[in-house]
Amino acid sequence: MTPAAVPAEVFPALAGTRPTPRGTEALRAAVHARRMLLLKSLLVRSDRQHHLLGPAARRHFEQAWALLVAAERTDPAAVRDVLDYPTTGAWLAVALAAPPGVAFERQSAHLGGVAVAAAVRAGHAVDGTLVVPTGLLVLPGLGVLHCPSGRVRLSSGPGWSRIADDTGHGEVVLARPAVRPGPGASRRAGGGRGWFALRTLPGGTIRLDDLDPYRLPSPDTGRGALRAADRSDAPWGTWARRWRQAFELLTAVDGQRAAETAAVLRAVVPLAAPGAGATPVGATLRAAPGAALIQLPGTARELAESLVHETHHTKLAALDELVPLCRPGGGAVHRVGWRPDPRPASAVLQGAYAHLALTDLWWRVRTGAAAAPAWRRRAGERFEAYRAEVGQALSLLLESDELTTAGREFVQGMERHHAGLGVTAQNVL
Amino acid sequence: MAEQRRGVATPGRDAGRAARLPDLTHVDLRTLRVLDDPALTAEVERVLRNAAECQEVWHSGEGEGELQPSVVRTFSAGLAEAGRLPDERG
Repeated sequence: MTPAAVPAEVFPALAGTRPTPRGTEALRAAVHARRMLLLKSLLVRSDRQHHLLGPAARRHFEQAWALLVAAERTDPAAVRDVLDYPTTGAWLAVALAAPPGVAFERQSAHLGGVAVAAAVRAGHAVDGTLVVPTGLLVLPGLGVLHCPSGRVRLSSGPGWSRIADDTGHGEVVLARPAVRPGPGASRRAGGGRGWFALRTLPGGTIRLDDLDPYRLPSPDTGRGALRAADRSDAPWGTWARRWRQAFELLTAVDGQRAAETAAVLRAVVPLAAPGAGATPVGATLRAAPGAALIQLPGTARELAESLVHETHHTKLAALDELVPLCRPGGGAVHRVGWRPDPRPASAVLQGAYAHLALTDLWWRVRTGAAAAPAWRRRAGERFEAYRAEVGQALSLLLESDELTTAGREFVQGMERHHAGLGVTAQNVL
Repeated sequence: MAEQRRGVATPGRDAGRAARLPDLTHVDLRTLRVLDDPALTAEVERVLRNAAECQEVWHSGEGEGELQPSVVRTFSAGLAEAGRLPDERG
């Protein structure tokens, strides 16, 4: 049985981790559908807890919603782009989990930033004022404006929008993408006091998101907590250079994989550097598919591998929201080769999927002529080790009763690709 | 309106037999707000009931492929307090 939401020919390709344009398209649709569901959930919760919100908070929420709806009428694709940006999903997850009352009210206020970002991107005129209780106006995918007064004034002209702190402590004029700012705005477009803009990594549209407060889970979540890199810790020049080199490597080894990575990811969130001797870590937030949280590795080769790894957490996160692959509630845990402690089936599946993609990459590195000898040697070693570990994990999953019917079909597809890699490798080498 | 299959998270119930959720891919925001399809309503209830699930994190590297459920947390939107703002403008 192939899930109706995923085209029949796409599901096996996704299972095998191999990129296809239709697979990427299906995953992007899945991300948007999930985002709309979370937005609907926020609306329902807001309506339901109407009486718990102050009148001003209710008014501001409705104003922001009205702006979002109006911007969508001007340019639906631009608004969809803002809604589907990873940190918008992370915010929705936090807002939905926030306790009723002040905490929920505070989180709901972020809808204002989302709406302004959408309006700017859509070229929809903005005016009036916007309350920013936190003093930091966050425009997903664009940047942040420091506004200590807690209120900004909005205005627009042909091709530009101006956002200014009520007491003059911060200001920015943003041009609509692909539109030249009009007279009087050109010198200030995209810049201003108190404004910090996100930067786009070379060769595409992926943002290096080192600003949005929703880019990371809370630091107090205990084990596995992540720490963001400050801009001074992760210099832009180093990131840009290594990024360019990593994509050159990936393109040379597997052009389809490089194209998929560029299409699936929307943002890279730099994490603080690992301590001396520590293994670099990466992460993907379930609510924010499309964002790869990674430490800047020492080499372009490591960055390329990290991007493939995190891209596959994003792919599986998006797919699993559309077509659940594991039955919930299973209490069993399993041992896998890449971890010392037993893991639940859903974690085994996530790890197996990301490592299957890496195994596929390492096979191409090992058998192709595009990679440097050192990477080919390392890829050969990693390929052998991880092929065995992924195989064990797939057998374990198929023997368990924790997969849904779709999940079983998916893991069988993973297994077919895994087996093919082995056979092909043995024939080639 | 097109429909998509969406699993309902209950043990013993397979994703393939789940309720039909309206396809939200092409729904505009105005319509989304007033949409009261029963399957969508049920899914919204599930999301609200299990909101903490959305905050799971998959870690890689040290502890490859780890699923790290995060605790429900109040997340200050004012995280980038003045002292932590970057000192350069891009």
